[in-house]
Amino acid sequence: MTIAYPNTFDYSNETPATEMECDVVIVGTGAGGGIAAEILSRSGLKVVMVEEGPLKTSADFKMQEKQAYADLYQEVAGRQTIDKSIQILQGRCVGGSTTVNWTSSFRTPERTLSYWKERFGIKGLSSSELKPWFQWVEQRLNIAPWSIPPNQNNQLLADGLRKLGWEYNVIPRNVSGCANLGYCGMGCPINAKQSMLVSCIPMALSLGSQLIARARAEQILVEKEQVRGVMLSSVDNRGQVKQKNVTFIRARQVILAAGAIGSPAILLRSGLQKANPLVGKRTFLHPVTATIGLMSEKVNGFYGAPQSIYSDEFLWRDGVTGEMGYKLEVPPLHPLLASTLLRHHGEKHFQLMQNFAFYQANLALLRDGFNDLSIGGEVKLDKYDYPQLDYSPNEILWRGIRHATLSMAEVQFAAGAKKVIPLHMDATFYSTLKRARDAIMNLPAKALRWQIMSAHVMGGCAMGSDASESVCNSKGQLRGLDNLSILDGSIFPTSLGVNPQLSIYAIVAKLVAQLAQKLGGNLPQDLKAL
Amino acid sequence: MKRRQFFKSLMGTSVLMLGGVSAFQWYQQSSIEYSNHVKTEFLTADDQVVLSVLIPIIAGDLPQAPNIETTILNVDEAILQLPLRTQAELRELFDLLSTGVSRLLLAGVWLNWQKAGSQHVIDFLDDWREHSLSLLQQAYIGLRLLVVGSIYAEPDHWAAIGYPGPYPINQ
Ligand SMILES: Cc1cc2nc3c(=O)[nH]c(=O)nc-3n(C[C@H](O)[C@H](O)[C@H](O)COP(=O)(O)OP(=O)(O)OC[C@H]3O[C@@H](n4cnc5c(N)ncnc54)[C@H](O)[C@@H]3O)c2cc1C
Ligand code: SF4
Repeated sequence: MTIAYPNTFDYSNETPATEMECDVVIVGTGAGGGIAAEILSRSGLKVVMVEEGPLKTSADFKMQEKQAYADLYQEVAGRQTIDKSIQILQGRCVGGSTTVNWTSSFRTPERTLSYWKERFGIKGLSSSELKPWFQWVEQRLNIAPWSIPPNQNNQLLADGLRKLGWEYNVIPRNVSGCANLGYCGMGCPINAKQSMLVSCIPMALSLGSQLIARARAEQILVEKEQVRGVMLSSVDNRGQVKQKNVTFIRARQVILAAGAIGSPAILLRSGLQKANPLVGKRTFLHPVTATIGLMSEKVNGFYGAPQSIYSDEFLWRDGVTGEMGYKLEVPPLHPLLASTLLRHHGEKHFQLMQNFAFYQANLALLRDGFNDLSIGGEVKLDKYDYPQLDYSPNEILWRGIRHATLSMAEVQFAAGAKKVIPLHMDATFYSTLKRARDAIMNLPAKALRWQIMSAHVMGGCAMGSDASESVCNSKGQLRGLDNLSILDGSIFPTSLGVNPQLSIYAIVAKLVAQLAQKLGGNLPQDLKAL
Repeated sequence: MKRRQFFKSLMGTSVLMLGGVSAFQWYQQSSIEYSNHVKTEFLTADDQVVLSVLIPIIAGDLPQAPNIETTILNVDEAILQLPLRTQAELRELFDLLSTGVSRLLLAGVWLNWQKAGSQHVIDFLDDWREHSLSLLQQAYIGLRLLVVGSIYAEPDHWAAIGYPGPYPINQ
């Protein structure tokens, strides 16, 4: 099945227009930008989407890490925090992170939404108010619990959890006709994953919306307390700026959906932190820590739906605001990324790599931002005006990481692992649970040594009712500029406790439907009824 | 201390220690030969020499030795896609590695890279990995990541680790 992408421009090889005009310009084409584009176009508004990454489609997806990381990810999948202690995976292509994500689709937990309401005064986003929007998205993107047996990597997580009497469940996925290949992270080669790339974006284009790929939004232009539009730079096929400020897109409404590092960066480049000092602050990551278990049979963690089993046994282990809770899942395993995560060289490194097919990996994603000590990070600009994230792991995070590492090792031994190694530069393989426990209790809680990853950047433009605590209101509207909305993961005031895509889709759908009406659009029936 | 200042101060001390002989002179005296270098945009000929020594040692006992040229091209291409800030940091790191004087001080190895026995290079990598200065740990992590990623990106090394490669699919 080939999908058409009409009305598309590519600034890496085309001459940019100096000026364009539309009702709404959307910066970023990921979870937030994609949904927003569909709903606004279906409401009859003239939309231009701007994306700094390339338009790559299933025909380009060859299930090769080298090519996929370079084409589809921010900083070749090696984006790092300033102190280099956390590695960040984010998409940088049409479809954003949804083009490369692992398809796990969870509704926002009730406890998270209640906390937002009580603590930050967020309105209109309770579980019951969001329910019809979750249902709408679930139908639109074919989200349902994975009905095929999990691959061995996931099955072993389930086995361990069952033996220990810990809860687990099957993950809902946004797929249609999935062949269980396991390469979601490199772009789905058969268009089974219902990412923004194959759903909302082509729908918006078919209705006359336009898409400019390889164009970076530089800054927003403000005149007389109104946003006038966005300035774009052209980008070459290595992602470097070719020509600064080549195109001005004049629009009645600007939507930032450049993700939780990209959106704050645009506000910072536009000088808007002067009126909104919290721009870029309280950025959350769901910091991830992992353990690897050596099994006696091949696991082949590279094949099969990457994530199909999860456990919330420890997600609320100390209540909503206590010690950091975590969700247990598994990552897919592919050679390039695995080789970089095993931080050795020479003989030791190859010895570890040799058993690659026998490894089962668990990950824990920690719920940051709910405890007053979990303050998150801050997006800053470097001297090239490019964003970087300052996020220093602190005591409460280390405690959570240690706790999670102990749990994951326990699950692996219960599932029959012969030995287990945590991703820590001072760790080795431990052959019994007791040895693993003793060692993990003593692993130094130090940045760089204890490896942390993230694929879930959120926050930095927090919603809220109190101007001194938030960047935008509960509608995603930036304070002081009523024709600038932020509609992506950056408006979350904390992390979520679940993989973010469905939360972003549903919340943005609800907010952008209101916006479409405000702009005089005609909301289609299916959405009007919600 | 900022990384640039730190590297500069290291250079400063080493020049003093050598009695006023400039780093550049030392560098010329230790001039390195590496004949079959490939066309790169970020990496200089000197960087390629450094990498040609590091690649086989970082790879360890891989049954099929990594192709040096391919690995160097992969490293170069990856760096060219990184933000300018990171490229500038890597420029400093490679300059540091290919400059004899600071190498003397940092790794305790006063030999041309090519002549450095592999144990010396392993010791040097071990030293940076375990160093108390986080800057050197970061350098180790960054350099190693580029090199191993560039090795295991290639199908040549998948059989040795039991990875059959992606399923063949009919679209
Ligand atoms: C490898 C991976 C696996 C994941 N797995 C899951 C999963 O299984 N389930 C789940 O729920 N979530 C998953 N996620 C996370 C999820 O995909 C993201 O949280 C979500 O897509 C974020 O949506 P967003 O709209 O905030 O930003 P994104 O989807 O990241 O989109 C932002 C877009 O904006 C573009 N952009 C940035 N700056 C600019 C600029 N200045 N000008 C123009 N364009 C710009 C970027 O290139 C990008 O395409 C995963 C993420 C990754 C990377
Ligand atoms: S697992 Fe399914 S959705 Fe993921 S890449 Fe394979 S076919 Fe596509």
